[in-house]
Amino acid sequence: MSQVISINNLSKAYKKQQVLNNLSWEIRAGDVIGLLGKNGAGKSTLLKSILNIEVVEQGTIEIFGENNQQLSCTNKNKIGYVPQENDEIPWLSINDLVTLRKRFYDQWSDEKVAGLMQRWDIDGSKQVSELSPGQMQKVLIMLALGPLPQLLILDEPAAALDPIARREFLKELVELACEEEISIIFSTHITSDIERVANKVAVLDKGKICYFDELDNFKESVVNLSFTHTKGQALAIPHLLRSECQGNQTHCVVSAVDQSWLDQLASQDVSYHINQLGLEDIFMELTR
Amino acid sequence: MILKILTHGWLDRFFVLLFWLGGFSGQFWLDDPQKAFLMSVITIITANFILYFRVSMRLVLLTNADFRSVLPNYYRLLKRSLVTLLVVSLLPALTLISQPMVMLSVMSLLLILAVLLVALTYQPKLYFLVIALLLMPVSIEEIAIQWGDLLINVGSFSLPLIALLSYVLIQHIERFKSNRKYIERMLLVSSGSSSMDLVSIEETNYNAQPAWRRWLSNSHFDYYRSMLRSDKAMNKLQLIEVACQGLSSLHRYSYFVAIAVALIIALVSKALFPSFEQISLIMALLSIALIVLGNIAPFQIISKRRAQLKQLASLPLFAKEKSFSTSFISYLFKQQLKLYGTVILANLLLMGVQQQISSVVIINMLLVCVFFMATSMLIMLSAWRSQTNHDNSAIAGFLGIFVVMSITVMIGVENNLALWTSQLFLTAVFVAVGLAIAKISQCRNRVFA
Amino acid sequence: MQSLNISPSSGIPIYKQVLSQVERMIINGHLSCGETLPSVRQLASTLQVNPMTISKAYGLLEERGYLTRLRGRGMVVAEQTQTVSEQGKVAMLSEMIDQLINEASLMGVDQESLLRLMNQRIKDSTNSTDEE
Repeated sequence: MSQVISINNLSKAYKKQQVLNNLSWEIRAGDVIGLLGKNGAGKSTLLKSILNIEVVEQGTIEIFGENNQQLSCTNKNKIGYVPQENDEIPWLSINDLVTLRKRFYDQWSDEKVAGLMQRWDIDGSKQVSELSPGQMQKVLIMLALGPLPQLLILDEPAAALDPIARREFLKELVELACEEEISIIFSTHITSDIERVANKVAVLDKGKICYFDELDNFKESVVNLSFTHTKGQALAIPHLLRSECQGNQTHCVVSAVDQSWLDQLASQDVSYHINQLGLEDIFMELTR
Repeated sequence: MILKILTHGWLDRFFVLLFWLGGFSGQFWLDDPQKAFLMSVITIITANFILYFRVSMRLVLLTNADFRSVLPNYYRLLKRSLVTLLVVSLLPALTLISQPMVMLSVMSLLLILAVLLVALTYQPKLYFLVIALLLMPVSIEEIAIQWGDLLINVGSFSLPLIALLSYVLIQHIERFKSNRKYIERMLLVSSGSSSMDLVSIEETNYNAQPAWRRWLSNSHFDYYRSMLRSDKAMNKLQLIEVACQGLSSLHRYSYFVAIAVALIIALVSKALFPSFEQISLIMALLSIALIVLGNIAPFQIISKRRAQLKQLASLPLFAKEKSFSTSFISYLFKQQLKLYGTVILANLLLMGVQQQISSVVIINMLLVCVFFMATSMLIMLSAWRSQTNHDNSAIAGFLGIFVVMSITVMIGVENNLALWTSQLFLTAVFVAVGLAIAKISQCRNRVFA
Repeated sequence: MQSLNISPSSGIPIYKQVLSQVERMIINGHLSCGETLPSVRQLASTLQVNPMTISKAYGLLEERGYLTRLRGRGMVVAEQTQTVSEQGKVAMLSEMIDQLINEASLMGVDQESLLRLMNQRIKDSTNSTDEE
């Protein structure tokens, strides 16, 4: 599979605060990636830098093999973006907004937009200023899907949606993921959005992608280990994130399971137990 | 803290201080004690008027705020702040006016003004009464000559009574309520005024607008809506233009309307008063209104739409390098040409009504407009390109240039000078144009930071 | 396949949940030999999970011999030889018992008490079925 996005040594600072620090990342076609990060970790900045909405100060970003600052028209047509904030023109109706947006693209699917409008119960004659944040979010997603993108970048798309609309939206994402060769990146701080839809997880922390792997590997490698051992025995636990000792019990969280080391434990008369963690807990442990 | 809220806004504070300081400096400047005295009275009343006007707006908001019943000691602190504010606002009168009787009556006048303004903000209907009073066919000069001394006497002796009245009113402040819808509008105006935001309407719900405003902006937007709905292809400039329109944009026809209204006023007044000499005042007012609304409002709308425009720039239509920035700058340039073309045309028409137009005047006007255009492009582009928000300093820059240019033009008109003979002015124009060109070429790669 | 019960927020990866549930359904006969399973897309869509998760689970099931891929029909439940299905049952039960032993050791219950409890429960359940 080919690279859709490759980022090399990207750095970005606002005033003196370093937001992105020497970040490198590769995204392959067909991936559905959940980008996790705390508030203010720089998720939006990263996504906007990819799209050249924010200026890249250091480093290079390539989309479909082209530098993102000189992206060709053909490739720009393949990208859909849902911004975090609604900055759309308030005095246009949704229908007008769609026609406006359409004029910027070479390719546009009216059927797709009409279908989404019907399924998501969007009233095209309403004005942007009359919509609730949740309704507006749906409109923004619809606009991003209009050009039938091959790369879809969503910045906190489900934040304003109610539980039903959120399910609908996630369902739409799954449908999209079933199609061939579409790559989706969506940032969120709500881990449950990721668990169903994404096949990969990236964690952005301290200006870097500190973790990027398949969701299943992610869940299997960051686990809670409990040891029962003789009192006072010190254990040199590999990949340790955090540990806590109570008498003859040690509870710890590791970022990867070293099976050969665990096998050795039996000879030292230590019994162990692996407890799997939910994604939310994993995220908390990694960005602690 | 409450005092801070009541007097919030750097622009208002600036003007209040300016007038108070003006009153003080008048004492030293003016040799004629009669003139100095008159000036301090006028400046004090103006400064306090601005102060009371703002405070009364904020007061309405504070007495209707939701947390008034939640916070402890809310009204006690509010009342104390109000008393402090009133006392402080009377201090300039106390120090500046040397005649005791006049001083006392000015203080009563100020207190009445304060009470009146607060009453007006709580009950906007009272405005009709004030307008009716202003329109009464009575000459103020006559009153001043006939009743002046008596009024001063009555004013000074009734000061204790008026002070007591204001104090009692402040003590009953919790009983004042106002209309909900009216308060929302007030909130809008006062939040806009605190940061010199001409376009604070942009952020409000469209349906909260008064009907006439909705009609007006819709009649403007309908042009763009029909443009979108028609099958005709739109060029890049037109698409950018659509994205830059807001509720507070100048109406499409406002240029024509402005010129027409000014012409009608000029013609009518000339017919009624053949020796009409106030044409320059009409010219000045018209030019100020056009330049402020045509420059600051679009600047602020675009500043608010920055994120949206940046996103549009990333779409396929603008895939070619520099494509968006070139179109955007051409759009901006087109708007500026339209604006200053209108200003020049309007002024020429108005002047034509009154007198002959000399080539000196035309060249002066052209030079001033070139200077304005260069500086405003420079200010706008610099503000948009910087990473941090410099919108307020940009507005201050606009106002500063405006004041400087007004004085220049006034001097020029007064002495019938040809501005191009002034080396200083020419240098300023050249520097401004040079800087603007440099900024534009810098922005050709990217307009927004 | 409607009866699959996915809990995305548990620590167990979704593909494992699908894997073990389908495995169980085949072993205890809920899914009979020759039955066609929904396509990856369909199942992903009904369960609202990423299709790669489903194809991973299907792939593993195929590897373990529970499913076979037929041209034009998609995934079909394979014929289970006696030994394979026996082995499967044993493996499944052992996994569950392992879990039980682990829990018990964490609670500090020793092996003998666990065995005693086990026998007690078996006796109770046979008694109650007899009474019926």
